[in-house]
Amino acid sequence: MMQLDCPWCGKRDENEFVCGGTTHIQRPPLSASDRDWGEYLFFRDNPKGLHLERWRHASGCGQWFNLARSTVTHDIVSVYAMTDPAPR
Amino acid sequence: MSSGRLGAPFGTRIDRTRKVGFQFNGRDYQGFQGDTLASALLANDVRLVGRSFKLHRPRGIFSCGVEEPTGLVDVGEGARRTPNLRATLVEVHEGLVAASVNCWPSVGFDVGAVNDWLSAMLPAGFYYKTFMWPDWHLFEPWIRRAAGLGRASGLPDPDHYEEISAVADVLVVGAGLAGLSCAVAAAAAGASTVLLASSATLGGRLEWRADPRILALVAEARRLDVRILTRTLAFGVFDHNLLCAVESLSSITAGAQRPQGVLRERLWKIRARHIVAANGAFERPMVFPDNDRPGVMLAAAAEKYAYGYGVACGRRVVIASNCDSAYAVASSLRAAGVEIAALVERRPPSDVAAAADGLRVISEAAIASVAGTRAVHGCTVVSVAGGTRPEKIECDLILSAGGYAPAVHLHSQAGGKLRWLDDSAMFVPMARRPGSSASVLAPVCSRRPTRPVMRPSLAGRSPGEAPCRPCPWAASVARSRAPTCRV
Repeated sequence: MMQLDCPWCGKRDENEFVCGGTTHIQRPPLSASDRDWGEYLFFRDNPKGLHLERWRHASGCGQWFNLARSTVTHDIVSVYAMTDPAPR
Repeated sequence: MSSGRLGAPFGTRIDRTRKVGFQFNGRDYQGFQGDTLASALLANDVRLVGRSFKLHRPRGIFSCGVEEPTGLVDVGEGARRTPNLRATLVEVHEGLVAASVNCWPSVGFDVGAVNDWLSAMLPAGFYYKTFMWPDWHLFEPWIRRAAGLGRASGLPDPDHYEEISAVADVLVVGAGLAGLSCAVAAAAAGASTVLLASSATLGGRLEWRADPRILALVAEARRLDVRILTRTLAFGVFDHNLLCAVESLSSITAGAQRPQGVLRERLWKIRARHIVAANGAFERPMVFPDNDRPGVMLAAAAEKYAYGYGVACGRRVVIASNCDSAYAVASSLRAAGVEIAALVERRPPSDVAAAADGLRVISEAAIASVAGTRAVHGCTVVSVAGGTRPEKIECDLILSAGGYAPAVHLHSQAGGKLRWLDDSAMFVPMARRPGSSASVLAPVCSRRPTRPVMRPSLAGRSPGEAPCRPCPWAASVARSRAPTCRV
């Protein structure tokens, strides 16, 4: 079981959290084509390696935060706020 | 003559003043406090312990520990009947009831053994292909009944089980010389340390030798407040250094009049900053026909039964070997009064470093067949090089010494890779890249007690004499508080 570092509560076991999927997805403008809307709604990257994702400490403080995690080794490279830009 | 109890100086693990009565297949036997079911059965000359899964081949005790593949028994009665326990891990206590698996009407005369005679007609998957018409489900019930091992009670479990979570800076798996050294070094450096031992006693391979180093290390570990969990078997490493282990408590609370609802097992979930896999090595068997017969055993196991439990697994022994560790076993068994009929050596004499020491060594030879079904009573030895006639040797025990393979399971489960060492003929853990989420470290010294195989310059040392450096990194690991999850 992974151990995630909640920015407010500290390290907790994975089963206290809920994963909210890929983060930093930009909503397209209303004028976007159907194809772009489809991409936005239904298509996600499934990278082998670093993945940026949202998590919520559901059984704890209830706060959302962002996480950069390797999907290969489950290394957590960085934890940052929802409003922060994607780390590079 | 066959297996039986040795005289008084032998048996460092047993207490001869405390006799323990137990039942196996409805018959009463006696063992001593400290015996396992396997050692107590061997002491009573019970060598046929169960039957195999499909072909109902006779099976006996093969090893002396967690690696036991054949000595499976059902233990307990009524709702407490627990199937398929390894007899080598079941501690004998007063009133213990055990039974053979997969045999009817008895383990000696088993109707299902007819499968073994028909084995040539029963290849893998035979049933599924043959019994398709008109409907597999017509045949399935009796095929399922004919195969399989132990029987579960089918009743609700009257006992309790609990789960504990713990944290540690350093978690050491294995309480042999390497594990104890690591735990002491880590604790001395100020790390909170947990030490897991799968057996009831500490010391691993050196335990029955009453090695003074072990006693000193155990005392030091207790002084440094190392949390020592005995009878606790680590079974998995999961993400971010979570190790799960099961602590067996039933042997402590066991007994005929065990109260309802005692605590039987405890699941430990330990989150550790660093995990050290110091769980030693397994002896590899030699391959020859019928090497699953009762009376074929691992060489180191026979040595441990003799010295640790005071049990001679046989009185006239043939050893099949391809490595120097067999010679040490041979001489220590001889010291225990066991006759070594021959040492069947796969290698040419030029590759053997160990001294034969008056042993009859048949070089460049192998066992071609084993005589005896329910117990070994001989074997045929052939020359691999050719030229000589096959020789029949009478014996009641065949020991198999094929070198050692480190127990790398935890390392591999944590994603670690292995590399092959040609000079020792074994796979060893490869160093893990720094900063990976699961850090299972195999200490250098965990490999040391495994005797190198097929390497003259290093071979022939017993584990007791093997040089064991204290883990150089243990202290630095404990000091570095670098988290394994970087934020």
